[in-house]
Amino acid sequence: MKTSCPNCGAEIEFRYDDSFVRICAHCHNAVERTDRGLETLGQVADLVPIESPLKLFSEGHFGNASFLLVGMAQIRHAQGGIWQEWYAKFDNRWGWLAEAQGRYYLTFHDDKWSPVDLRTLEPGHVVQLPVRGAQHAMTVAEATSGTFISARGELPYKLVPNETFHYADLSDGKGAFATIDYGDGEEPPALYVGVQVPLADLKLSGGEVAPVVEAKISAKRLACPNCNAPIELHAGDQTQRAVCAYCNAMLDTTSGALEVLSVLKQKPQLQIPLGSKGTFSEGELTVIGYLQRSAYVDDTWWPFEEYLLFRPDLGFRWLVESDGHWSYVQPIAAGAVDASKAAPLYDKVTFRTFQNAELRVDQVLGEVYWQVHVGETVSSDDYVAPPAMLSRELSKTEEDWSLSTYMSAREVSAAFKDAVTLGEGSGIAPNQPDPWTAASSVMAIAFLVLILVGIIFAIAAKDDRKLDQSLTFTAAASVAPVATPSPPPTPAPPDPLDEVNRQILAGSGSAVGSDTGAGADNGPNVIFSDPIQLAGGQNVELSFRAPTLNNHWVYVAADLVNQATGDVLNLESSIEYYSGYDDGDSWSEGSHESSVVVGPQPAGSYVIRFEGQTDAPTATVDVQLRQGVFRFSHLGLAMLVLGIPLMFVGLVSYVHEKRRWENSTSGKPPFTPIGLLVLMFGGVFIVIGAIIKAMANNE
Amino acid sequence: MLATIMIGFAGLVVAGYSALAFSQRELAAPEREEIPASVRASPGGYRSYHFWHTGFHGGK
Repeated sequence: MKTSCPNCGAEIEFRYDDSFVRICAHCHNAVERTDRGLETLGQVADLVPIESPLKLFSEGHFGNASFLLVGMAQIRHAQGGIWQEWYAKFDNRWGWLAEAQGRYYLTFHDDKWSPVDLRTLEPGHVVQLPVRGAQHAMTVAEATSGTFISARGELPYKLVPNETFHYADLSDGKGAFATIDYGDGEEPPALYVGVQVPLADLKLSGGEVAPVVEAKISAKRLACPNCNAPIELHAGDQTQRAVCAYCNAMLDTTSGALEVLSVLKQKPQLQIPLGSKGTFSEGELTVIGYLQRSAYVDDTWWPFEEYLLFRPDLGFRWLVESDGHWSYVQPIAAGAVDASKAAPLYDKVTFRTFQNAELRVDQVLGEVYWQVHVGETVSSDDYVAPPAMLSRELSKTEEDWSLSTYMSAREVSAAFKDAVTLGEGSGIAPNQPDPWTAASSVMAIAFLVLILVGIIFAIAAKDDRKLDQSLTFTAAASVAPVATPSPPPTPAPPDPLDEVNRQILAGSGSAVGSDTGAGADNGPNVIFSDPIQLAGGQNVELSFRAPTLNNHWVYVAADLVNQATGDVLNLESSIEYYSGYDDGDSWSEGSHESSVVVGPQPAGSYVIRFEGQTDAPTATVDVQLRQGVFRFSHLGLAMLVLGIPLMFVGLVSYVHEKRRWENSTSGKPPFTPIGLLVLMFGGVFIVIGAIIKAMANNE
Repeated sequence: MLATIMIGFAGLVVAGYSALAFSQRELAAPEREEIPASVRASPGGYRSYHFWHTGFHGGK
């Protein structure tokens, strides 16, 4: 519909039936189309030159739908910044494309929702809103107001120049974005729901209005109104405040011409000069501003430095230094962090509360993107998961989350191509990675694997009993065995040595006594076992048990004789047990049991020649031979070999964490698996020490 | 670097233990000797190594 501007008479055209306002290209009046005719809403200001890749009448795509940018508006934030909204005409609806600090949000009007009271929308508050047809938890990033200052083209709503409206921005941190527009409070709130979208995805092309400023970074040179020194503004109209590097004058940059707000008393000494270019994980950025801030902890203000980095297509980043430790800081969307629990969750990583403090601005230099003033404060919460740290800065209207990544002084110097010299950090930074963490984790995992392997071998052990025999030894020379072999004797293979054994057994009844060599009172008690079939590839355990032995000892030498080869394996074991009463207290020492284990022997038939000595009149020893027994001592030895270095690296790591958390306002270091292992090992050593001490005292 | 060294060390210990447990070998082998059948066939003609060399004489 073509018509004339009611203010100047110039021709204006409403190209779309569902648009409300057209900005007159001649007199810049906002002309509203109503059922009563045309009405002027007032004149909008000239456009503030803002770098933008968007152009009026650019064509773009969102999914399968195409759109045309037919209108735009510039809105001043309550905090002073300006952002732009572009109005995208799709075939059957309008889209709102907001652009702020290099990010783009495309939203659409949604009338199927239950309005929320603005007064309940505090930053960080979670609201259920309809997103893609389902209720979705959205976090309030800010609840504040904006003022329309300028516009162009055709608009899908009633824009009143210089009118202030209230709104809340919400996001889920996973791309979903929403704005609730409360207008001037007289109209019902309107919901706009959409997504944050990469500019490239919109596939913009064409457009009849060239960008106001070249997209490439270009510094805007002005003169300080206080000292006439050159002032360079790298972030253009996104800069709200600038501090002259020569006279320290705080300048207001929002009105086009610089205005002196105050002259700051202190002039900071920067470690990294303004204008320096550094290369970080997101590419090259320029240092455009500096803040010295302090955190109020334990009744003291602890200073730290923040360097503001900028690149037009990326926006703002920070480089933060504290005690010689550095962090590269990126903003993250509200809602990206699940802060519903005590330990916030971001990007599937759990962060631990480290510090809650009030932050104060002490000194400023260069450019800043908000209307900063010395002495302003915000409350801050820090959460750590080294090398990352989440920080939340909370004001009355805004909640800002940021993600810090630790950098050493050497890495920061390298980022600036060694053009700056930075001192090494002191102490442990909140998000400083622990170099021992990986090593202690490896050792802890290996330790658990070792235990698991040990359990598997213990379960798989055959523990096959081949001999169960009672032997009676005496201090006297001769003895008769009271052997009751179990299991029943295995038929011996045809071997000439069997005959020898049979002769031996037959020659003295069932044992060979001390009929030669030894003295009559102290002679050997010699007993032969029946032939035993040993399997190859399995260890052999001989265990001895003398349950009735008391205040005596018994010594048994066992020779395992391979009947086929005559190969003899010499084994020995002893048992001693003493007990009594001293001053009414019972005591005992020694054991009724002992055992000896040897590795696998060649498969075949064996006999064992037992030879005993004892100081008891009679000592009965139960002997068992088992094959394929699990060796706890080997597992224990391996655990010790692995446990000592684990204990060491775990302890170093624990001390590192302890030093880190000494600076925390939340108190204790977290209870980690490594800490648990350290405590476990420490506990074991303490118990062993206590036992040794007790034994020493008894003796 | 440190983690790599630890991985190597831990792997060596776990593998060493696994090999030992699987083979059922002992870290130290006991004395082994061969007694001719003729000696063993002579009742009383054979005394064990322990009899002559060590033996146990009581701990009390």
